Amino acid sequence: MIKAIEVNNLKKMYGDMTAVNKITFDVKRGELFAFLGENGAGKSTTINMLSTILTKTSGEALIMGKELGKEDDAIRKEIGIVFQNSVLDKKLTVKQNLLTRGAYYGFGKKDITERLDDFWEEFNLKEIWNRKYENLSGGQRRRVDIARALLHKPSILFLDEPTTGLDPMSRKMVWDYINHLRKEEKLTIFLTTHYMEETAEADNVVIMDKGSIIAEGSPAELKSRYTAKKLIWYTDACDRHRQIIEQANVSKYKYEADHYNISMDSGITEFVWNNRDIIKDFEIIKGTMDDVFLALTGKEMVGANG
Amino acid sequence: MAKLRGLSGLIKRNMLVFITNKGSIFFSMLTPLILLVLYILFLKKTFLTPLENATAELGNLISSGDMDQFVNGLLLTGIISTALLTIPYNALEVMVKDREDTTYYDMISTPVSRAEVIMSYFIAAVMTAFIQVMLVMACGLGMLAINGKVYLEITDILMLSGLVFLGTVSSTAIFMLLMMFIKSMSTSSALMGILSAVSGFVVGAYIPLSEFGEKIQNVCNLIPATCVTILIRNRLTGGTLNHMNENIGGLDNGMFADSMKEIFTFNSYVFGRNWELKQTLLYIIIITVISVGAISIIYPKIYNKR
Repeated sequence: MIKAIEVNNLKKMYGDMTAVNKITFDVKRGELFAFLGENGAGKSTTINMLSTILTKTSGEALIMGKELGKEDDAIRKEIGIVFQNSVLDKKLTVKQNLLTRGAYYGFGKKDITERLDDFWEEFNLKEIWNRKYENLSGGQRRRVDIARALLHKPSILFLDEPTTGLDPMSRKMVWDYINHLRKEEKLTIFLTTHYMEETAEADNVVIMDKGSIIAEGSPAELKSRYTAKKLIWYTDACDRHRQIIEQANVSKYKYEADHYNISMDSGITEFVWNNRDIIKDFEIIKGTMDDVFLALTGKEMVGANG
Repeated sequence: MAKLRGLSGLIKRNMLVFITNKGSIFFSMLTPLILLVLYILFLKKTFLTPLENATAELGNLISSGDMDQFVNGLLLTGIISTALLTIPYNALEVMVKDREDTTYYDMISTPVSRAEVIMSYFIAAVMTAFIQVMLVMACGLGMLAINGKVYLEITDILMLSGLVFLGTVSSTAIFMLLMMFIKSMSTSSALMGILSAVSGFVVGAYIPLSEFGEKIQNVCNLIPATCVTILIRNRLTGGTLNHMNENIGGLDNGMFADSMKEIFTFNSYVFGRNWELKQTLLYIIIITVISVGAISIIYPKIYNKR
């Protein structure tokens, strides 16, 4: 598959401080690519470099086949960005915001309204068209931010922590739009987030820590590589049960309230089968992306599950 | 056409952001409003006293109506001149705010160039300030006409409009050079406070500059805004002064008009010599051109993020 983004040894330094340290990765066309990491991991700096806002210190990157640093004008036509903090004007109406932004790409009013027709219904723009941006709810604002990023029909949509600070309902709404864009518009989506569960939908995930990539793969690959399956065995705590667990290939276990929480690297099904006479009530849980991050960095994500 | 749309979109956006912020508009007019209030309370008397003293021996040759119109003209000069400082400054605060909020990332990640971004701030500030100051001047001239006879020809009005335009461009260029280095609105607001307090004195709106010592006069007369004020003062009150001089009929060998011109600074007085009005005009143009040149050299260092 042709690549939408190819990054090779990309580096960004501020004085002596390395913000992004020789990262290399690819993003395939039409894929949802997630960039995961804590605040300050280098996610936004990477997006700002790839979107031509910041200049790179060294390394190469191709965006839709165009070379970063040499074909920046062409790159800017290919990308749309939803910034972490909205960059639309609060005192202006949705209409004023979108019409002025469309002009940046050389579009007249007619071109912009034609383009907006594509997602007029989907984004429910009609009801908020003449309202000031500052008077919109968090979810509505994000909707307008995404509409603004799509005005010029970009090939790649960068979403820099698009759901941070949103309530669960607004987050779901934003994700419905993202999934729509991905499935219906076949858009390449480059997402940064620190919400672990948001990476579950991604085709590929890159985890960053202190400016470097520490792991990369599909969510399933990362989970199988860095986490153990868990067996939740609902039973009473007793010496016999403990004995059975300790004799098996168990990496760690503990008793919590009414069940044993048992982590096993392999052989979980065999263990259950072999002890089917006493294991009556159980569930098998795969590792989560939280566990992946914890295993890789030794720290829990701030805002995880939030 | 597309390029032009980009620039016009930026200009329109910057103007909309300024005019939809009622607080900004109010604060940009605060110094001229304070001047008007002070004039009504006591400044008018301060300005009339030297006039009455000078005409004491001339009996009824000069009407009190003409003296009133002359002093009103001086006030209007002060209002226009302070507005020429505070309005462009406030209009340029859009640039500072965009920098503080990183809103300009939204511009520089589109096909518009960084040069167009900085040019758009300049043009938007000039346009909004010019329109606003012209409205102030129109209201002021209307009040003068209601109050008594106005000795202004159409050419004087056109010349005044030209001077307002020159003053707007000059102030915008000089402030932009300064404000490109300001990163936060708190710093900008602090400077605005200083500007509001000082501007009325610098252009001789509160007290005639001739009241100050020679060193201070030298400094003030080198400030382009003061030079613009001198040119506006000549155009706006010169007709009334000539009319009063004609009424005296040469009895004083022109001493009254000369002393008024000296007291109320009708010519720039720099290092012991009076500048011709043409020299003053040339000086303003040179400083403006140098400022614009400096902006074009400095902006890439600030807006091309390293």
